[in-house]
Amino acid sequence: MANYPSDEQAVEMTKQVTQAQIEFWRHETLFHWQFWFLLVLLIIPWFIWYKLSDKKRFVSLGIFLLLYMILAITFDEVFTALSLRYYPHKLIPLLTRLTATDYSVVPILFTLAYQWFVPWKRFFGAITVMTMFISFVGEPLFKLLGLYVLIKWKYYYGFPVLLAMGLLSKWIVDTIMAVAQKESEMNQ
Amino acid sequence: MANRLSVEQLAEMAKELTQARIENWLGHEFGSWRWWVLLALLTVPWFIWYKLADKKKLPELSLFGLIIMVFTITLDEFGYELILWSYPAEVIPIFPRLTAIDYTVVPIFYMLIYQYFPTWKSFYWALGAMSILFSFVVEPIIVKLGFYMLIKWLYWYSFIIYIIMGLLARWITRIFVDITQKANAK
Repeated sequence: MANYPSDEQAVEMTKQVTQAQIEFWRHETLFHWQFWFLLVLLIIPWFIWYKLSDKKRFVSLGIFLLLYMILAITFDEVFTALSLRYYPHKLIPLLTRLTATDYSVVPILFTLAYQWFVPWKRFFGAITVMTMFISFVGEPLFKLLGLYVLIKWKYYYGFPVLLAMGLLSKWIVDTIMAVAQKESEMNQ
Repeated sequence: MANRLSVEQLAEMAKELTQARIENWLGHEFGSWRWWVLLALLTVPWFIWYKLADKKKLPELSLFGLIIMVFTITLDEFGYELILWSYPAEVIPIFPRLTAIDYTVVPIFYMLIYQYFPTWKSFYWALGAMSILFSFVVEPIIVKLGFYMLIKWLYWYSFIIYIIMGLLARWITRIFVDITQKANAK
């Protein structure tokens, strides 16, 4: 007998956690104010972004947005899985992370910064201010509203991660655009 | 009422589940041949893709690939949490999905057919062929090799999802490209 949980036991535990989360969600979240708040937060920023975005750079802004989204989803999942923090109220009880912010607000804010602050230095300054706002105003506010439970998390943990994700995304998107630019110039 | 759990209990349960996944993974996956295969699948295809990718269309291809990646990451998590399928082998135990496939193999295959089949009509055929290959050849093989377990799932469900994902991602990408071209033509 192995001294670690088997595949079957892991599947069984997953089933129990999912059922408990769905149960909690059906009674405590669905159609409560938390649910509507998260739904608005998921949808509205997209319309605002569409209005504000520079259509001439729409493709590169789209790449930045998706890249940041994937990084945010991935890191949020890592931190949540490691039980550093927990989100009691979810839009969908099956996603372990805060769907509304990962799929909408946070990537959109960073994409706007990417659009408005082109030189590296100004971009860095802008996202530093924004990251401070998210970590030290946004997160405490979510905790106050009961949308966020800190387990082994400190507000300043998020700060370097959000910042690094922003810098990495800009670097990748700028590289992709530069490669394409160079290639089309060579062929002319 | 009584059997509903508190937030603290839920957080505790989630924590125990991660703990069990990590122990299971350290117990018999980490360092196994399956683990090495997945690690190779996570990294190597990116180099091949970079060689094959049309550099002039790199922004458009990346946009398309990232849309596919968001779909695969999200859908895979749904299926896993709903116990529709399970992955006995994982690169990293804390992700409830087949990381190598979602983050690398699937988006790269999609990007390549997007590049090689630029019209809607040719794209339909290529997407159909690729989806058949993924759902009825690759998935049964990885089940046999022990990477994938179908619980409440059928191969043809996968087939439909592969098709819808491809069409939707191409449609969104074209909208982005059209808006950009129009704005620059002004």
